[in-house]
Amino acid sequence: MRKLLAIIICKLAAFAGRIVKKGSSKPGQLALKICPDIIAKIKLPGQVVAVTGSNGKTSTVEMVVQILERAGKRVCWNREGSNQIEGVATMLLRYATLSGKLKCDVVVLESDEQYARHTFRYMKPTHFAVLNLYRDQMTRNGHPEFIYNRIRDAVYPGMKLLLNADDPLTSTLADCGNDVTWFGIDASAGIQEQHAVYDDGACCPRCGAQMQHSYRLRAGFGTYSCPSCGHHRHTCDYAVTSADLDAGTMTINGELTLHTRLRALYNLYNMLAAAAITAELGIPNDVIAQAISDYTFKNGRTRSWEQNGRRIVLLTSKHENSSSYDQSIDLAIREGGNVLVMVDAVSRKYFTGETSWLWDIDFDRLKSGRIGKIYLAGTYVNDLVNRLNYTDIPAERLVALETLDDIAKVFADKEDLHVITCFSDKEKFLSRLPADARERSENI
Amino acid sequence: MIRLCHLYPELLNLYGEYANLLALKRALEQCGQAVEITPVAVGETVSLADAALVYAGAGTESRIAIAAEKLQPMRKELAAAAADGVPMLFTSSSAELAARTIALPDGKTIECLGLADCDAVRSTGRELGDVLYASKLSEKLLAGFINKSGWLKNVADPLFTAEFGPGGIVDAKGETIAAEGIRTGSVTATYAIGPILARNPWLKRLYAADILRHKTGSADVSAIADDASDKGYEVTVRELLKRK
Repeated sequence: MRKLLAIIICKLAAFAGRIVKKGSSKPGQLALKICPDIIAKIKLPGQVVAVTGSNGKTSTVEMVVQILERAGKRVCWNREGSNQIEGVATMLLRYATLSGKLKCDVVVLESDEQYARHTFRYMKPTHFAVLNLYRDQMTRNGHPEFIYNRIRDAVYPGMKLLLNADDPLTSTLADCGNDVTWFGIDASAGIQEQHAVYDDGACCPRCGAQMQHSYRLRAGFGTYSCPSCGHHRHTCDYAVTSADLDAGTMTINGELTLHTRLRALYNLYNMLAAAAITAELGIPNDVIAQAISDYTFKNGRTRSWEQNGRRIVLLTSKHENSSSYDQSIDLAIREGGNVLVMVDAVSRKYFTGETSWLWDIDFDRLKSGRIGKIYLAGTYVNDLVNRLNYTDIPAERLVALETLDDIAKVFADKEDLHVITCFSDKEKFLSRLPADARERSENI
Repeated sequence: MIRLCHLYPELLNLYGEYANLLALKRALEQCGQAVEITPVAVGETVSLADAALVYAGAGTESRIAIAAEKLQPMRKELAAAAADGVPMLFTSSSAELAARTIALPDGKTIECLGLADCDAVRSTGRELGDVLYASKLSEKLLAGFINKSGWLKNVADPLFTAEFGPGGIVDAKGETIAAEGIRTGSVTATYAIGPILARNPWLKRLYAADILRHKTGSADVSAIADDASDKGYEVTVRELLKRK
């Protein structure tokens, strides 16, 4: 009876939410109050995929869903991105019949790294993909090893793990003893090392000894081995064997070639993970290739405009995530022009004045001759200036804006502009865009 | 040459803590000194005879345990340098490294360096939050952040009083008190991160003065220029006080 009531209430609340255009996990919250183990009472299909990691969850899940739907599967997934237990409950009950059976072939779940262990008490995925463990929102997540321990608590017997072999920390989840499918980027792909300020792969995550690397990608990812305890990168079941980031192609296992407009290293990993997951679910290569090639970002992280003869690109990174920032800096250097970095609200969800993450970002690369002026703005502009004062960027190229309204000065320049900020700050930039800026449709 | 010894920078590498030494180096150079940051690799044993500062920063809990074990051969050298008055700073989880022992949730104990007159205790949870700490070191507050799974205990005379945010000390009953950090002679241990010297210019000047006093007899730091960190500090304190 409680199960039925929880399902009905959740559906009604979700319907009401759609009417007022407010997606949230409130329906799931209500359902859990009525029936705390409602998730466990739902009859799941034979394939339940959960995806977690520090970076790339949303994009990877979107690609997985696109591939599965292209293959004709009915997919139940948390499209609003709410990935804690209330969001999962909302998602499942929306797709459930009144008797508690899911009307779908596959469940795909974007799982919060910290909350997966709670959610999985009630619904155990058949496949659990861990994309990576990076430094991300340390003010909430502590550090990658803390999150690793949380994820480890979410691994149950019988789950198939899909692990990023290039990540020395993630790969130790194989110690749980589950069946593992490995994915990674082989050295043969020829992708150049991307320097980072820190190297979390320098020391073995098992024993602390100095790790040896024969191929490095970024921040400790790559091909590694520990001479002390033997921890090493596994041979991949799904490996990028060749790639051309400029041409937008990558080949997996020498046979599955993907064409894409997405060019950054993290996009490669996301596409690889999506291909590996769906291949494991039995989707043919040609369907995977077509679906990924057609994929466009839906999450609005990048937008661009034409304004007064120049291009403005907004790159919404995550603050407190150096990997995200470094990728944005990569793009800005590749495309050239001026840069605006804005740190006004450090977090979009809560207040914090913590800015130590700025020291994890490789701002020094902005000394590149392809970059003109570097504008710095926001409440924490002085922390930005302080950080950049410890790079080799000539001081005359740094322009600290006293107030957000001074962003108008940025538009006096005729150069292309890349804006690097986060979700909580992007509206502060958007509201100051010149009136004659015309948005472009392009996939970056 | 002023030598700043950085213990295990590759192992204890979280939260941008390396910037503590960059800020200090620049400040000392402004005072006319030639400065070198000397990293000590994991397992390496070095002489601290001419060290002007010994520093260790943030590491994960498992890495602190590795550091505690690998630093045991340097225990006497470190104790001798501390007895000689060499300034030592242990920030974030390295505060536990400076303690005598760490008591783990599973009942085991890690033997640490015994440079600070306290012990440490760990939990499986995590304590996070912005902090403003008052102390006798200065009328200025320390602005920072706490990101830890442990507490110091048996601290007779805490260094800081927590004006805002969590402390880092438990009393004899195991209850947290609004205090943090310890100074034993020339050794300071604090869980605060920032990086605290890069973000608190008054503390950077204080350490520069300590180092110069110990090395040269003169603590004149008037040549250290104001920079963006001074304005940044004021903004940080202002924003935190709004939320007090």
